[in-house]
Amino acid sequence: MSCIHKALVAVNSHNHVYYTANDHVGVLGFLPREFVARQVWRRRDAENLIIVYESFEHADYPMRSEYVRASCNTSFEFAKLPQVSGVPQTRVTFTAEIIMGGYIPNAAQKIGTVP
Amino acid sequence: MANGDSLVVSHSNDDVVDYGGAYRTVRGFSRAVFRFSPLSDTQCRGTFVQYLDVGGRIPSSVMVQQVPTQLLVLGEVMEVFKRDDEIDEAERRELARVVKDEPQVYTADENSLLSRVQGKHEALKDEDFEELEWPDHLVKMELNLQGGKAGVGRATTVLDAEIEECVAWELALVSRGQLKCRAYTRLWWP
Repeated sequence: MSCIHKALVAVNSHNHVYYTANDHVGVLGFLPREFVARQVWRRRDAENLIIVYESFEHADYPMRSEYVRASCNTSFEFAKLPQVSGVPQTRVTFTAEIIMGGYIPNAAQKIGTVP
Repeated sequence: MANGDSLVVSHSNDDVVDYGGAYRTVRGFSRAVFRFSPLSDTQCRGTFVQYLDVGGRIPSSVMVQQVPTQLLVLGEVMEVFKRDDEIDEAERRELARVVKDEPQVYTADENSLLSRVQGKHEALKDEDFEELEWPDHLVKMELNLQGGKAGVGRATTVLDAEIEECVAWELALVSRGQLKCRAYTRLWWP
């Protein structure tokens, strides 16, 4: 997969609009996919923080015929762990549901979720 | 120049020089200007303008195709001076500072988005996640086919860094390094 275009526009310091278009090179007949998502991060407490992405429609990024609009619901959870030999440790959990759009059989979608 | 710009000008001339041999060459003509305009103490904008006549009879359409190659000289200059890593590092440090120190005020809409996505993922039961084979034993890969339309993937690992540093890496989605990496191969987030 290669990135064709990427943009991140700040709404404020914790809220951004993220646009990305990717070409899935090597998959015959697979048009490039574009995503428009809101990215918001929030500290839950001193030791936990979350970043979420959710697809939405944005006037600055109208649908284009050469791309297929895909969507996602993803989150990164960061949790502080005890240091190891003085080195700080953070556990990261990335959870993602990605709908690639277009006519893709569900089974193939599921396989595609796994790298 | 008065505005602080510096110019480097090159210009062909028609001198007849004895190079000590006979070469079958076509004489071309070029006139070029490099302009460097200061933007700050550590950055300047470079502009390259060139008039080029390579001589002979070459269709203009062919020449048009060659233009980017000719202008690439500025890209070579950029490669020599580039400090992308330092700039990305400074940006990540600033992001980490914001995450660590700056109090944030959230709107109802932002809170609703956070709880919506979090709620969806927290509703997934651990026992529905199937662990996948993955060559790196430090990264745990799981798939839940019960959740969502296309299943939900989950990856977990431990990083040797402060929480704010990790967050800054994720927030710096359009760093110079990220934008330059056209063969972008992050596996889960497109």
